Amino acid sequence: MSEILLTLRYYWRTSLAVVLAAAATTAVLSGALVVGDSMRGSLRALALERLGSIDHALLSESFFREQLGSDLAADARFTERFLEPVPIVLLRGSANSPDSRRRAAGVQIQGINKQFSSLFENDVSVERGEDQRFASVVINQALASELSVEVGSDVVLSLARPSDVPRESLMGSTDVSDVVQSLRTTVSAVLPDEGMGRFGLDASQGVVLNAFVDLAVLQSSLDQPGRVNGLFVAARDLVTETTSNPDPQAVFSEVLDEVLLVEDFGLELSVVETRGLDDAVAEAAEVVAIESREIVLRPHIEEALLAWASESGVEALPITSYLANRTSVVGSDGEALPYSTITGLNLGQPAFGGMRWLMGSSHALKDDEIVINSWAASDLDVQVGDALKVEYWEVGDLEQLYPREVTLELSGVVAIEGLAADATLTPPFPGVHDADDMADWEPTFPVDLGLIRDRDEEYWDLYRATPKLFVAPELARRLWSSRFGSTSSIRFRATGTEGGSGGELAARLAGELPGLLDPALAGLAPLAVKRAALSGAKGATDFGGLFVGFSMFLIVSAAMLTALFFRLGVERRAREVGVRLGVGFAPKKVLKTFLREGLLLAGLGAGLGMVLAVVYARAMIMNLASRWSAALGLESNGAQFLELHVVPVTLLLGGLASFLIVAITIWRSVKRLEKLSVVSLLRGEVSDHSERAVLAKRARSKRVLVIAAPVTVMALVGSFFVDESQAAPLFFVAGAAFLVAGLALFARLLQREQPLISTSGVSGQLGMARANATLFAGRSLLATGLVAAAAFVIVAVGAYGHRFGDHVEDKASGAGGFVAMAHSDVPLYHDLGSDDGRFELGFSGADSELLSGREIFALREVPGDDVSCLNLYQPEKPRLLGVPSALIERGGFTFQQLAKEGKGLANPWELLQRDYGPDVVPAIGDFNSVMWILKSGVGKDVELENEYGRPIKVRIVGLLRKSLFQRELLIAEDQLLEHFPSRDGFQSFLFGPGGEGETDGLVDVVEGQLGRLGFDAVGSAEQLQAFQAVENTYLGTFRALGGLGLLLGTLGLSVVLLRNVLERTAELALLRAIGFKRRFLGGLVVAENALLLVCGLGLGTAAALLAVAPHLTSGVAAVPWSALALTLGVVLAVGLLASTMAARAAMNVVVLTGLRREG
Amino acid sequence: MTMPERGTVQLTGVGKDFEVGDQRLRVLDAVDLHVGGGEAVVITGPSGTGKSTLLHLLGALERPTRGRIEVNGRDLDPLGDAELAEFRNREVGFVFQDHHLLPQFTVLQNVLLPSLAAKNMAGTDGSESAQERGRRLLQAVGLEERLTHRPAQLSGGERQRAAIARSMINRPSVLLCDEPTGNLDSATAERVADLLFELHAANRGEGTSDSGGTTLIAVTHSPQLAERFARRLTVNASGELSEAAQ
Repeated sequence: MSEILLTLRYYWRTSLAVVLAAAATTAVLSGALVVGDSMRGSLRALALERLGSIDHALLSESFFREQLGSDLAADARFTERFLEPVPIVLLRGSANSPDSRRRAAGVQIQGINKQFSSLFENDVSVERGEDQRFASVVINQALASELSVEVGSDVVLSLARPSDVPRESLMGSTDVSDVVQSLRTTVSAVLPDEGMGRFGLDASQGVVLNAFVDLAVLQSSLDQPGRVNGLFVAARDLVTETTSNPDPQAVFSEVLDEVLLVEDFGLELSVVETRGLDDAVAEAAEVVAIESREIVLRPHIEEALLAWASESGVEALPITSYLANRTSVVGSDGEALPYSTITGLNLGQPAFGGMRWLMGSSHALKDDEIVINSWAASDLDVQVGDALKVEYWEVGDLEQLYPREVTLELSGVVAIEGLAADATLTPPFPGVHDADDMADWEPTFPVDLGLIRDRDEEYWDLYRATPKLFVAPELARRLWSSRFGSTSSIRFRATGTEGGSGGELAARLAGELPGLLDPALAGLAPLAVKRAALSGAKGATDFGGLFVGFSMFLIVSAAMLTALFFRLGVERRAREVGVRLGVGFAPKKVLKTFLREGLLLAGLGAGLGMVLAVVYARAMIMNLASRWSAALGLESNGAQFLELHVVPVTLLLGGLASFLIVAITIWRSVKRLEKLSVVSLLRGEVSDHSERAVLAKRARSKRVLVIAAPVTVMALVGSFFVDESQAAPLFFVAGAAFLVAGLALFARLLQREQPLISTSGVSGQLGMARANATLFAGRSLLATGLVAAAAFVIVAVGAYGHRFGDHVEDKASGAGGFVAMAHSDVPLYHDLGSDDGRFELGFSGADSELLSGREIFALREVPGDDVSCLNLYQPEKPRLLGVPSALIERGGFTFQQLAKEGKGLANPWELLQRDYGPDVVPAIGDFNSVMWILKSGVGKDVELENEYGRPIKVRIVGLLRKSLFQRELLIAEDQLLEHFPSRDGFQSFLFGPGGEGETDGLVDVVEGQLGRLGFDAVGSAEQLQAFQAVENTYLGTFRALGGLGLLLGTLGLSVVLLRNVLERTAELALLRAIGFKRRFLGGLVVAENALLLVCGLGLGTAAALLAVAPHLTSGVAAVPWSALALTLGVVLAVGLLASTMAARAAMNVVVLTGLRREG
Repeated sequence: MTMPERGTVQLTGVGKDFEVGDQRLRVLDAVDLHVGGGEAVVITGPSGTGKSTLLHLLGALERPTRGRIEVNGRDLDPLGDAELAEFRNREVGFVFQDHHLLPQFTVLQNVLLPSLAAKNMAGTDGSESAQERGRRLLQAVGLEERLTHRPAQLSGGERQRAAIARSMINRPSVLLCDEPTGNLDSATAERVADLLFELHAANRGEGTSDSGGTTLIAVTHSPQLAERFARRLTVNASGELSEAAQ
């Protein structure tokens, strides 16, 4: 070992060079892995930070009892594992400051109590101060900055007011003033953007705008006293979150199932005393009625209730009540009956009260029959057999009401007795049921109060909303069914001796019903939010692998440089090897000695490299943080989020891997010596110039050329016979093969016999330079190959830039012809594309005009994870958008890949409407998002659960190229409503181009008018550019690292050159001795380097341009030619500078010293 | 003033010192020498006495510390680096102990190198192209079959013969040989010596319009080689040059 140390010290310059190059290899490789660790570590830390000690959550689209938390906590099994649940109201809305007049969309508004802040080990209070006029709000720094407010400032929060009744049903209110709730508050504290200030359930690294208000204040503001839409649960033992042993979620679910009440499913049980008939045909009885707060029972709940009744021997009566706007006698000019309740039910079930038939006879109604009560019959003056026309509203999308009518034959008139006198058959229509007079109605649908007569008011006074009209239940279901259901209530009555009282039946139902219904149906499934967050924190992208890929050329360059340095060192000691062998050392022993030296140097380099890796990783992370700050929403705290996380094992693995890489290259260098004879070595010869060796090299390069050249041609020819998506990879293959073929050709040129020197001056220099390059053909080829490969990467990657903005109005562009897109935190129920809709939304005439005539599409949304590359977390549940049929018919955008069945279609969007089987939902996504973030592809399924908790397969049938839809998957609106019927309203919008010069103001106008709904619009070009930011960062990083690799290659080239110069001191001395001037020799050295550099750069650039030819001709290429030229120019300049230095060395060769050194 | 014969070398009071660390080492001192055009002179003496240094001074590879050197009547002292390079190219041919052939070039290309430095592929007298002359020279040294071979493919003697051919390509007025047979076995050395004298003799007739021809000055330890020279000089340990007894 001491001999090795002595040797290394003697050759300290070479040794140092090898160590530094090996260190560079390790630093780059380990550093790339550390970047991956840091990204995962940062995402994990952020996930833990934003959740505090929240492990599980119970979140619902609708509100449920706050008491549910206490009920859970009352169970010992629950308290054994969890702390008491923390109730929360969690909504999204907007905030604005009356002082600064600034507005922020996408604000998370939370109603919290004191328990919440303890989840974050914080004691912030949201209680109103004594002298405070408005309720307190605690906001985070990000929101404070966005609004330019501070403690004491007023902030108005706007959020979606929850509605029990689906807003898209007839009884739902879509009035903006009812949809949006505003709450004026005063900022009592500003939290830093960490801990509680960073709270958020979404898997996103972006800054969250948080506002916390007192739970009771928010509940009161939203008319939801004692109700919440979320419970947060902290596990007692954090270990349970990271081990698979106990399953806390199962315990949570088990206890939840047992404590849920009927009302937690949005249902209300009541005992109704039915009226008997005067002649005692039917007796008064107690029945149990189940109604939904949504006015109608959801189909799956109805199904479960009827099944339970059937199995339990309980008679059930489903009731469908609706509103008839106008009922008239066909062919009569008499008065019409305005605004009557029309009820569909089975009239043949006297157990529920029965009816007295004044005309006609009791029978089950057919679909074309109607029965009316005596009051209506009198009013209309009709007889059995008359035809009645019933007019009603049908609710379409975007709260459009379509007038419909049905003509039915009057088959009977019943007295207002028994069931026909039961006002509770009509559900409590909002704005109607509690009005004293009909004139006081404030319904959610348009009414003409002028039609209401005194007689109607009298009826209202006597019977309230008691139905006047009765039809068959099947007809009612058919006419008035919506995705929310059709049955307004179900009545139950026990039959037989076991029946018992209504109260007993109600108690029985209350006890059994929660067990019948899956809590998931009410959106009450516990979620292991922390586990999901930590799982997502592994990241959608393996950044370690990505950066190893990015750094590959740098790693290869550094490893080759290490090998080069070591090889030069070995070659310099060729005579020493010869002497050792000559004096009797066994060849293996000599090689071992060199290998030990190399391994020692590689080890030292790896050790140093591991330290440098941390520095390298930090630089990469800072680079990412700065490049991504805007695109990924890291502006205010990017530095806090992306932090260095060094995992020693990874660092060691990287060090070991690079040590092995370097060791192998060193071993190969040492092995070369074996091929040389002792005599050659004693002469200092390190290359085998024998004819056999030369021929073998020529044969090798010929073999490579014979393979690579046809591959180039075949790939190019093949690209004409495949579709666009496959042509690009073929071009890349062609480019790469061209590069290999070019290098093989270059090698052959180096190996070819040189023609006689036939001229002088510069051309003479070039001729000699070329001849000199052949002297160390291996070195020359290695250096040129490195430069060519790096230039290939830099140009190919650099040329892949995209330009957006020029073509957004083109239907085939990534913007699909839409100039802007928008998202609204509060769903919209009005048609932005219509004058009426815009009027309802409050647009002024001028602003409305700006939107007039534009293509405007509104899309429904199922919230989920952002699947674009802007989200660094691995998405678990993609966001879904429902594509309306009009947009499907319109088509547009460009598909990068399509399922087989879509390839012949003129409009591939139609695939969304195809039937792929039960619970298979066809979907379209963006190519990059689906391929790289979701790790899926065409024909593959993304497994999701629908609103009922039933698994569905979202099958990818088409992938768009660089489109606006990178954050989500697109499914047909019909499919979305089938699987997620509760998703009412529209939250995503696409805006087509308007008239000339009108586009600019679009974003400002819609945001200005709809800002309080949290309406956030962005120009398509800007959005596409934002999506491109991450890719651009990758491309930029790749280019930068490729550039570093290229510089290392150039450095290697220069070292080769300098070494060549030093090795050829005698030759240069001789040239000087025989009369060559210093300048000529200097030029010769520069020409030699320039020749290799230019060949390498030229070959690499040409191959790269060939590889990206399809992109360059696509029309959207935004190639940073100047940056590329600058990069290559810098490399050329550095190379020439280095060669100038070598040239100076050559020029300074002292003739005699040189001659003596060699002689 | 009459022009001196081509190949005339005149040294007057030439001395050469070297700096070794902080010491000054006097290698040659007060050397006076006249060599007539076409003459063949050998310089012998013990190692380290400055024989090679003297040769290098003659070939303008080094400048003297003192004194004056004239070749063909031209004082070398005022010449700049570029002029010295041109002088070496046109007037001097070198043969070293080691052949110093460039491995990347063929034998013929190596021979032609000095003509490339002359920026002129035509022969100095315009009578034949450098290539033709190179081929002829290689034929003269017995390497006509090896024109396209690389130095690595030649034997030691062949390499030295190629080096001799290279030294003659520009028809130098002075041919300087530093231990030209030092690395060769005796038989090969004999052949190389024959070749040198043959070329020297032949070149005498090839002189330009001036009288004289190529002057041959060699430095050697080899008694066999030295004996073949008509004029022999010796350098003693003090760096002084004297005529050796014939």
